[in-house]
Amino acid sequence: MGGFSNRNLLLIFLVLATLIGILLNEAGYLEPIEGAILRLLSPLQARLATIVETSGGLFRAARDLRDLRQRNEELEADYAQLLIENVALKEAAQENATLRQFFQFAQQHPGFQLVGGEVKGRVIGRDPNNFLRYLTIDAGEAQGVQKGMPVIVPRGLVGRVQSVGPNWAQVLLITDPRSSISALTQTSRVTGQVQGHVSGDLVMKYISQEESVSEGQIVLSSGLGGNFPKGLVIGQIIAVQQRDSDLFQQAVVRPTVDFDRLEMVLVISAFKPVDLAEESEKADQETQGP
Amino acid sequence: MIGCNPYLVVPLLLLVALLQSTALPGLTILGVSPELMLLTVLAWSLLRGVEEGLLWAFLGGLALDLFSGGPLGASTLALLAASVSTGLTQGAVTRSSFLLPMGAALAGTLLYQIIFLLVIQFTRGHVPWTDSLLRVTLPSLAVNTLAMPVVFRALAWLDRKTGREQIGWGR
Repeated sequence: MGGFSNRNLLLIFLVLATLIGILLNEAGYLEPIEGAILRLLSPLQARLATIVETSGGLFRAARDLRDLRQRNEELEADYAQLLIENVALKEAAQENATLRQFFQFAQQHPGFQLVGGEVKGRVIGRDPNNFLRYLTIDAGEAQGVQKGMPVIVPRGLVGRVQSVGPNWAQVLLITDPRSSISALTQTSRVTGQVQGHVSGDLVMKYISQEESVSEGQIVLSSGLGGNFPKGLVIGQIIAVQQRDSDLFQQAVVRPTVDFDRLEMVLVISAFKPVDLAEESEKADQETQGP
Repeated sequence: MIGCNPYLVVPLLLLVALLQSTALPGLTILGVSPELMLLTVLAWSLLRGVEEGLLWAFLGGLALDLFSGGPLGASTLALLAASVSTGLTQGAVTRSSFLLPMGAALAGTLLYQIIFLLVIQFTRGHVPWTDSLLRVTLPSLAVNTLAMPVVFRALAWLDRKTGREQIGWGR
C-alpha cells in the first residue's frame, strides 16, 4: 500500500514538474538553462557525429557494391551540377526579361548578393523524434547566427534557424509539417505556399485553379512574407493534384536537397527576416497613437 | 533510487539520447528510426517496476527534449505515461520470454506517440494527425516492437549486474 502511495506521489510530482517545465519553456524562461546545457553537450554531440559519420561509411561500404555507388555518386554530382547550372541560366534569363520591364530593378532588388554573408555549419545532430524534422548545427551566436536566418546548401533551401545558442543552432527543415514557405514556379511564375509533409516530400498549396502548373517545373522561394530571400531553389514538381470541385489545386514537390545526407550547410546571415506579426503590431500601435 | 548508480544512469541516458539524435536517424526502416530511449525506459520499467521506470522516463525524456526542436517536456510527458502503463506489468515479466516486452513496446509506442502529438498540438498548433499516425506511428509500432528484444536483453544484463535487491524507493 505504502509503495503504491509513493508511486502515485512520484508520478504526480514528475507530471506536474514536466507540465510546469512545458509552460515555462513556452514562455521562454528555460532558454538560458537549455542553452547552457547544450553549450556543454554540443562538443560531445559533434564528436559522436564524427564517429557516426566514419563508421556509417564503413557499414555502407560493406553493404553496397562499391563500383555502383561510385558511379551513382558521379552521376548524382553531374546531375546536381547540371541542375544548378540550368536553374542559374533560367534565372538569369528571367531576371534579364524582368530588367527590361523594370528599369531600376538592380537598385531595388539586390538579388543574389547574399553569398558574402554566409556562415558554414556542420550538421551534428538530427531530431530524435520521428515526428519532427530539425537539424542541429555547430554554428551559433558566436558565428553570427540569429533566429530566423535561412539555411541552404548549393542544391537548394534547407530550412531556417529556429533556436540558437552560443555554439549551436537548431534548424527547422522545410520538410517539417510546421514549415511553410511562399513559393513560385520558375517558368510560369505561379505562386503558392510550400508546406512540409510527414512523408518527407513537400506540398505546394493554394495554387489558383486558373493557373497552369505541370510536372518537372522548378519551385523557388518567392520572398513574400519576408521569411526567405527570393529565388532559392526548393524543389521540382512531381505531381499535380487538380480537382474541379476544389477551390485551389496543389502540387507535390520533391526537394532538391537530400536531407538524409546533409553534412554541411550555409546560413545566410546577410538576410534579415521580417516578422510580419511584429510589424503589424507596430503599425497598429502607430495608428492608435499615444 | 534510480535503479543503479546515478553517476552511471545519467551518462547512460544521455548517451542513449545522443545516439538517438546522431546515429539512429541514419538507420531508417519503413521511413522511421527506432526509438531507443522509449525502448530503454519501457524495458527498465518492466524489469524494475514503475518507480524506477518513472525516474528513468523523466531523466531520459529531458535528455531527449534537449536535443529536439520540439517543446521541452513533450518527450518527458509521453515517456512518463508509457512508463506507467508498462511498469504495472512488472510482476509478469520473465527474462526468457520476449513476448511481454514486445507487447509492451507495441502499447508503449502507441501511447508515447499519441501523447507526444497531443503536446505538439497544444504547444505548436498544427499536427497532421492522419498522416502522422499512418506514416510514422504505424511503421514505428513494427520497428520498435521488433527492436525491443535486443534492447530488453541489454537492459536485463544491466539489471543483473546492478542487482535489484539493492534498490528501493522510500521503503
